[in-house]
Amino acid sequence: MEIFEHMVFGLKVALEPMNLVYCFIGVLVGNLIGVLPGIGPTGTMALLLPLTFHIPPVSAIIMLAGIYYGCQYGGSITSILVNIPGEASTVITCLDGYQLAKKGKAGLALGVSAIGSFVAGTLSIFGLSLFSYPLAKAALRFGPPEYFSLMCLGLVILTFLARTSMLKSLIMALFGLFLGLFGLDPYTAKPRFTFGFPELMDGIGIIPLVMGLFGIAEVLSNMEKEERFDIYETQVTGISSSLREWIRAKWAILRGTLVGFFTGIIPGGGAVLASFLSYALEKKISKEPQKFGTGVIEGVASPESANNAAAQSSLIPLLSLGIPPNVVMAVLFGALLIHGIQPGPFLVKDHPRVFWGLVMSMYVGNAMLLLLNLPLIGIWVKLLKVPYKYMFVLIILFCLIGVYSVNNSVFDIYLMVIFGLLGYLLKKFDFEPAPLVMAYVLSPIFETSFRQSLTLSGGDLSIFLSRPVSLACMATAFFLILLQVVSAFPKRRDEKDKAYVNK
Amino acid sequence: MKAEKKDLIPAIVTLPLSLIMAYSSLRLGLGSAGNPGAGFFAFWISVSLAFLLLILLLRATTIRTNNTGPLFELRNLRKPISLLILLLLYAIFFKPLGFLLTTALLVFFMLKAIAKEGFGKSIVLSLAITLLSYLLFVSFLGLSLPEGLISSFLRGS
Repeated sequence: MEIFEHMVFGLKVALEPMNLVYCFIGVLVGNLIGVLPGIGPTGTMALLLPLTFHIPPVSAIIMLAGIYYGCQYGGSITSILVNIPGEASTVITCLDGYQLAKKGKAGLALGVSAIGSFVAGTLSIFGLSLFSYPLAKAALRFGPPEYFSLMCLGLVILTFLARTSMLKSLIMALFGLFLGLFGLDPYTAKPRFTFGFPELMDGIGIIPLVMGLFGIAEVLSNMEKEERFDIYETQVTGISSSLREWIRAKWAILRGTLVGFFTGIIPGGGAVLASFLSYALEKKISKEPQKFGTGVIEGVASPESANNAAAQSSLIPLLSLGIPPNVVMAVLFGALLIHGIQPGPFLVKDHPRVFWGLVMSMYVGNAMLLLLNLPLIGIWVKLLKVPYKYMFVLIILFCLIGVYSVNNSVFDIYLMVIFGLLGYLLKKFDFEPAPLVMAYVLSPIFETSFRQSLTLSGGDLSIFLSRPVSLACMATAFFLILLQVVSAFPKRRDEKDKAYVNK
Repeated sequence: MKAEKKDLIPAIVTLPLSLIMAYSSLRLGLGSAGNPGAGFFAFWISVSLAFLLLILLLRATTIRTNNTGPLFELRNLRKPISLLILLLLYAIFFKPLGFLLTTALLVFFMLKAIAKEGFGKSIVLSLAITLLSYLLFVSFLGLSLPEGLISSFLRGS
């Protein structure tokens, strides 16, 4: 009953005219970004973050969250019609979505994608409403050792699930932790790693960091490629045809929702992993797995539902524990901090308007997206025809003005360019920037929890092993690292054997 | 068979950097285990980083690869390098010349030199985009951007 009252309160906040407007702007921009390859939700949120300074925190967070889950809807359009994923989380949709479009079933694929996303999003938000509040209450009992261990585990899982090697991801995470220490020491106010720049007294800002790593770096990488793709020009009809396929899609949507919901919660999970896992599951349980990749409706319904469910559920650890499970949530974490709101177990108690307003706004946002997507598909497809050589100019301009407007400082522009170059080089050398950003965002709490734990125990590290939650987290983290080390050994031996043979 | 460049180069470049980080952290003061100082956490992060980079270096030198293609193709680097130079110049001249002039010049050179648009089209588009940006960011959103030469001149007249 208590939760129901909170939800009603949240709905009232979400339906306030200003919040409705910003929710609409967020989902519209998110949908647009999802359609357009070349920039993702992380970069977009970073671009728009400075512009949210002058609006109330609730509206700002509603808008920024709308960008993330709006992207999941938009990305599927290009995957189905163009065979180019608008977002990483819609890569897998290309396999069957584009094949369905070629068979003249684009309408079916797009319809199932939109409605599946809506159903998954709605159910996931319901789960978020049910789980976040009790989890936040449980987390109130966590002390510094629990927080430190939980964040350790989060970073290890993130690196374990990384696309590139765990070793490289761990290196990125450590580098991110170090970057987060720039500025004044929280205990002694001693300047750390400021190199004589007064602008670094407050540390490296999240906006130049994220805009550089995800905005500028993306543009630099895209400049190297020639973009040429054919848009499958088809009349998007037949949305309501083939009732049998809709019925088959129904179960795939529900399975995708479940997979997505739980994947979104785990660090390193999120929409991308959810979409891949759900597709793999559908193929595994299908009676005709060989048909996947030829235009099977489950191949669209499941990953599209999963990615949207994960986008919503990834808010659970952020809002309840103050631990962002993926890089998009890390940017949202930064946004909350900039607005003076500390995510974590006290968020529900101290800022109920933000918490419940955000949760309930997602119901509204999902409904808006359903209405936006189906009738406006023609317009979204036309936007794809805008050449990238014009898009990149606008992206760069937004980055420059956005980053300057934070502190009216040219120093931030320089920082953004440096991180842009770094992000570009990281891509070249197969390093993922996501663990760096996650660790950077967590670094202050990480250090504080660590130092407080050692102060409590008088320097005895066994404090991290003597408390049950902390022990469980540390043991799991250690097990995952060991698993990765052990699994690397046969590969190394095989490669040595191959090297010997090739000599 | 060669060493994997994607591991070798970053390891060689950043391993000394991590040692410098560790040294800088030491200078901040480690304190004690029961009362960690300003450099304590940073020191152990740097040491762990150095350790992992050493593993990466060892991995790169012991595991051979057939992947001998170049990491950077020179002909593809022209555009990214041009853009980086333009961005740095933008930052240098942003305050002295002001938002309007630097933005117009930046957009013009991005369109002309990178997007390979014609001279006339680049001029028209750069002016249009600059004006729209001004209307959006300054007039509508109320952001404070450097005035520079053009605005001062317009105000003066």
